[in-house]
Amino acid sequence: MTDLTLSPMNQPVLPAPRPYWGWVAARLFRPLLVRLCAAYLAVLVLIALLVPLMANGQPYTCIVPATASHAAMRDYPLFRDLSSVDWILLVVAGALAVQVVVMSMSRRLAGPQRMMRRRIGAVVITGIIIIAGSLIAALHHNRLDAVNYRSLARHGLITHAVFPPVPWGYAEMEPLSKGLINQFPSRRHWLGTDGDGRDELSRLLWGARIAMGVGFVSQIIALALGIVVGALTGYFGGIFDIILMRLVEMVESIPTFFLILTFVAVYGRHILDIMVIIGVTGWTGYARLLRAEFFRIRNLDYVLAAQGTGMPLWRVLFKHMLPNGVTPVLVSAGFGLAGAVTIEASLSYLGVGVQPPTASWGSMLNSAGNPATVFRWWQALGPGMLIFITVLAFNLFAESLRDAIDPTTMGRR
Amino acid sequence: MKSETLPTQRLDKPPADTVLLDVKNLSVAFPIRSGLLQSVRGRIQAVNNISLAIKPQETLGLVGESGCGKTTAGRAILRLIPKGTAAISGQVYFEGTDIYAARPAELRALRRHIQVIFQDPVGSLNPRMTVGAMIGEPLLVHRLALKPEIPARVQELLQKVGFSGDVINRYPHEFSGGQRQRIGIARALALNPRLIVCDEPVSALDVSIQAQVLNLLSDLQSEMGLSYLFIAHNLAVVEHFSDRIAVMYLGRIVETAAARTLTRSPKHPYTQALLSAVPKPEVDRKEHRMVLQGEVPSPANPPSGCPFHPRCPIAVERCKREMPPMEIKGDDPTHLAACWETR
Repeated sequence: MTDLTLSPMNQPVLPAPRPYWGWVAARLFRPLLVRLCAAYLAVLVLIALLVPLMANGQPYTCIVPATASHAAMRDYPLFRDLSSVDWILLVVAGALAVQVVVMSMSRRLAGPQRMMRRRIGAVVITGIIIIAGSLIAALHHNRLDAVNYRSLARHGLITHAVFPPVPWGYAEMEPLSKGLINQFPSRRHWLGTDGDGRDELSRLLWGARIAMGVGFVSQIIALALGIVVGALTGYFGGIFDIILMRLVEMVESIPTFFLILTFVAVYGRHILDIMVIIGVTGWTGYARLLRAEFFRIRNLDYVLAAQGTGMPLWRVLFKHMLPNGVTPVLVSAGFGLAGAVTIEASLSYLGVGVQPPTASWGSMLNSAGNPATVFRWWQALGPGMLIFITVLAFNLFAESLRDAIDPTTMGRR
Repeated sequence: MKSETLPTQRLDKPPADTVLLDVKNLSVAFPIRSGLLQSVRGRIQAVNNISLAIKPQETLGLVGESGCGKTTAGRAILRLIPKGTAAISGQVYFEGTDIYAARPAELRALRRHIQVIFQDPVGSLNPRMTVGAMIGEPLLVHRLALKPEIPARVQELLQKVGFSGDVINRYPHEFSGGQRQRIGIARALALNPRLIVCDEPVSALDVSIQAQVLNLLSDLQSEMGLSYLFIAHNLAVVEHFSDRIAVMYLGRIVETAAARTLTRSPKHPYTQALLSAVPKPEVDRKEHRMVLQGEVPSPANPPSGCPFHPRCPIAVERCKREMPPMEIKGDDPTHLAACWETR
């Protein structure tokens, strides 16, 4: 029987190593429409992270000329006035950029070296975020800078001022005396002004932060809850499953929208509360999906093999089972993001969403028809289109992801 | 460091006549649930009161047709049947420790010594993990190697199962069936186990690859001093590979003997039927194939008496009433069979 020796040559190892997600991405991004959606959403996320640098009334930097009492000095009004949230989001944007660079660098490396690079990149980024976040939280003092830098610059009281591309803050009003409220798009205000004389474009950009914030924060909360509950019920089954699924049914019976209305009526408007409520009422679908996936996966041989080698439970659950069952949940989260954006816009439209003067697409849409006798279409067009396109992009993206991970559509596109 | 204490355990290896794995009266019954309240309407007795023993460096073949409970028996021995899905009774002793009495931490430590190779080379490898991660993970979990040592150890294991070159960073779908099975074997070997439960390791492979994998398994056995519980439905494969064979029918072991004894003088009519189905490479030989009539009865509703009696060519009235016990047959005192009619 020894004539059939194990030569490594007798079976060629197939070429083209491509991990699962590489395969999914290749299928996902093939249609132009999906690429457009992804680009749009990426830009939206970037705007949400970087909006203080894009639309702000304060200049990045300027020089205060010398006076009798002090010498000329350079000032950084915009950075001086960034809040801790702004800073953290800026650091996140920076970290994302670093990650992209590290990833593209590591693509050229091979094997264990590549893994090492990736791991180092991840550690560095996490470190940066934590350190920067805590430093900022410790050091930052919120200031109220009500100085009108544009008029200072015009009168020569500051020089060499560099303003952001949209030189208006989201809450900055044109003085009433100038009659610049409800203004049609002009060179001064590219998309016009609203009823309080605030720049529409600036508010649209700031509104992206609220929309993305509500979407992502609420869905991260929902995913975390849904994955934990789904994994546990799907893995253990039995009495555990029966009890937790009744909890799921209870949560499902809560109408999110009316819960938020009630909550706002009692405790007042806080956008963070709204995010949390959308999250803690929206996880049940994910739990159900993952539960079903785990029922299927838990009796597969590789899970038994992992248990058989004596892996601890969490490792079996989250390292061996979750990566194989999470894709439908991620698809569903894409639809969830769209839903959360819609809920926030609806709430703000009804005036129970964000606290004014915070900009939100929903509240902007509301003010376009306020008072009810008038309708200023240019005020409605921007937020309306953004809500529409954003929801559409999330849905299209999620739907394409579903098709891309579905092996039955393989080869059809 | 923990890894220093573990290898010394291998030095005080038990002498060859001791029993490595001792299964006593193991039964597994799956409840049949139905209705709104999922009430139990019946039970499938997948494994019925089986007893087995495997000595160090021995291979025990477990044969039987599909659905006879061999896989369930294998999984029950590994304690891999999820809690609450089946009623399990009996004891499984591994080197004197009852696997079913072990606490979770003890069980995890025990699992290091008992590994498993599965039938389906596609389903047994996690599609989202690279070969290197898959084989290296048990080492990491059991702290048998430091992180920087793992790639070298994995490479060594892969060489042992016949891979050369860089396969560590590849994913399972890039390999053929035989290659995947070898990766599964490398994973099972990673922890330097004493017993490997091979659950039909070759039945999903081409015949040429089957021989390759079987040769690999037997080479590894002599090299590493392994014991195998070799589960298969093909008696021809088991016959060559095993020291002892146990034949299962409908959840029960109906005959057990040394491989040679069993194939030369089978005592149970079921074993005889199985053997007559093995093709013999002889020309001009009159085939006396014993073709069994009827279907395998449902384990949810097994026949009375001897479970084989409805299909048995030599059944008598007594077989319908009474279950025959395992008795010594023939000259060999280790040759046991459960049949009223044969001696």
